[in-house]
Amino acid sequence: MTARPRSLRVRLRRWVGLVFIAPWIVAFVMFEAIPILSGFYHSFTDWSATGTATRFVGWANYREALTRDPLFQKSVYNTIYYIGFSVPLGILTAFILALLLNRPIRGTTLYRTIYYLPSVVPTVAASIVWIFIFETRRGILNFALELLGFPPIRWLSDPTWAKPALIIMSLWGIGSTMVIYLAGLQGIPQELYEAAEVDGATGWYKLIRITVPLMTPTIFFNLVMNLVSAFQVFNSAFIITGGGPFNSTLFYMLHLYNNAFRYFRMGYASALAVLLFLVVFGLTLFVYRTSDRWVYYS
Amino acid sequence: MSPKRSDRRMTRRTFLRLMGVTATGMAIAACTPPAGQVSTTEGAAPAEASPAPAQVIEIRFWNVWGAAREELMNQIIARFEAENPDIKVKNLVQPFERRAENLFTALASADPPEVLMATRAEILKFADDGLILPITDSVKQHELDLDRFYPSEIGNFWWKGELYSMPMPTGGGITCLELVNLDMLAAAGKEPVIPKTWRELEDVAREFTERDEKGILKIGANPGTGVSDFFAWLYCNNGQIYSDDLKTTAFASPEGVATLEWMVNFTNEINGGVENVTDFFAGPGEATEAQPWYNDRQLINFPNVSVFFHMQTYKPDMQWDMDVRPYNDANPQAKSQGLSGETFAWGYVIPQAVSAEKREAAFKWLKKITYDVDGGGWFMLQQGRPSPIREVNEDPSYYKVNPHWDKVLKALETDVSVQILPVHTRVRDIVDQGVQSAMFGAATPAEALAQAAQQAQAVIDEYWSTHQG
Repeated sequence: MTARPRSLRVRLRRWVGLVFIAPWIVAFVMFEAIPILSGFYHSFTDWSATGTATRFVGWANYREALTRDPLFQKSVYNTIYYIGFSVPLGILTAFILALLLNRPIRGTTLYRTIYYLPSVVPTVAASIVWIFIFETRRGILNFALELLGFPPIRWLSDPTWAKPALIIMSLWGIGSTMVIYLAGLQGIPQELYEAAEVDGATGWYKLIRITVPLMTPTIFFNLVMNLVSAFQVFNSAFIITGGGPFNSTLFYMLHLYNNAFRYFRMGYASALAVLLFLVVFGLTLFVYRTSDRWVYYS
Repeated sequence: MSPKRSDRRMTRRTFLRLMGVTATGMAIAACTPPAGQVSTTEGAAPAEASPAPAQVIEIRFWNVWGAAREELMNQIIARFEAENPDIKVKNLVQPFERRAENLFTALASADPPEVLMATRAEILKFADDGLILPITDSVKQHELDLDRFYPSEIGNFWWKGELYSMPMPTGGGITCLELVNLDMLAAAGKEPVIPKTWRELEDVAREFTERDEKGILKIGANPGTGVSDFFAWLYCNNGQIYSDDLKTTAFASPEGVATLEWMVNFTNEINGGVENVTDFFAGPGEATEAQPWYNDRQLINFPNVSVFFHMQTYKPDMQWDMDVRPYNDANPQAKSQGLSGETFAWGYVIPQAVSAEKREAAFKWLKKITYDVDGGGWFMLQQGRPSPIREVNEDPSYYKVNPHWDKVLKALETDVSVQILPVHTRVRDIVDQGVQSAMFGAATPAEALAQAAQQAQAVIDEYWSTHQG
């Protein structure tokens, strides 16, 4: 007798929930699931998007990418290099900034706003600013280097330095990562620090033994998000270097874009997208699987 | 719970299925042409049933004529709408950096803009894929005289016996010009000089280029470090990009190798290397007043014809003179030549998906901005740049904004029309890889071009394997 009304309530709640998420489901199916499946299918064709005849080509696009396309290898190398430096650097810098801005100092809100602001500046505008910052003769970065006694660096014209330049530029957008860290830091119970202080713990010890372990879920989240976005690095290279000099900033997404929208080789570009998806998915899975060894959920 | 009620209950699985069906339905609906639009493969012939006079047809016009040019375009639109009260043109300027992406998306959709601006390479590709309407029949019906255009200009938009666009601006005038800053010569106490050969150019550049440990302070001349310049100099050394039948590459010929060697040596010896040159011209764009040409830091410039408009804007008091691009005097066959249609040749197309009742209006607008003297012709005149229509360029008012107009026309006469394939963008990028390889010393010019030729040939062969000659 009592089970029936409860089940009705449960069913009603489920229905209400489904109705609320229905717009998301519809949008997901239309704008995510269908395009993903369509891209997967087209990766086995020579679809040009503008062409009328599309042929099934089997694994040919994948074979071309993995064996015959020299720019594929170059773009993979460039992207891995970029990820290898920009992700750890971004995570560490954002964490340090969050630690500093979490301290009770005057004007904290203003500092937080200032550090967050660049991440809402459009990439095109930011890129123009960075072109000036990286200028060899009059750029502020070389000016600082010269003050320290170093010779000027050809940031954007030397293939050796172009990638590091874009890695430095990637720090411009760490504001959002920093805000997530700040939220995580403010969730750490104060009593833990107080107890540690009673035991005579130093600042460094508290950081290593309390802050970092309790922040690992946030670090994990930021690591996954930054990894995914670093794989998709595009705007800075597209606007500032165009993939040059001498292909040193030809990142994977730029290579994919060129094939899709400049050469209209949508089938091949779809294959590149599928490969990227598999790599990102695999890496995310790896990070997720290893997370139980280093992520601490209190 | 009665069995009847239980049967009526919708499970979550059913609900999700319903959502899936709804989403698919919406996706299909989004890809279907709007009611009343019929997509056919016929030419841009006027629709049989003319619209009622009261009905206003809207033409969405996608183009990249931004900045000061947008206002000029709006003036043409105002005149056109006054002449055609049943047509309204919506001027939709596209951001240049997202142009290709937008163009592709528009053409792939069921409801593209009625008139789109595109490059020649894109137009040939779209024509080859049957995505745009041939305008050959419309040209005949409107009794347009295509001989008013320079043959090399109108010739750029024919593909397999059909015309797909008319030009505006010129596809020529892109590489044929050599401009000299007379103010810099005067400041150095030198007599005006305009190099006519590669050797003369080297001598003048060597004399004027100033460098320090950070790079170039003033540049005599920059022969360029990329594929555009390589192609431009190649034609001034009696070379060519493709064979006449477009079946094989021709840029890795002895002329091509000599051209690239000359560019590399010039860049290294006179300008101190490709990095120096890149740094010197670094900035947010080529057409900005910060560029060395507008600041007396570049003696010789090889710009396209848009430079006249920018000079009026950024440095109207500059004293300058001009001639045609220098040629390789070491090659007896070589002469000064410009390229028409290889790159930066723009046209306007009407997508196949445009409804029959809008095609005539779209063609009228296309005609206005390309064929009509008070349309595209006026637009070019206002910018001080040449028109693809011969009679427009004979307008004496050009001399008011450009005292060397006769020399501009002479330079245009050196232009040769270059035949290209729909896969030209890909071939071009491959050649660029080769040029970069030589510039950065990763390969000799001969090796770099040989490798580029091999890769480009594979692309050409792939194209011809799926297309009839």
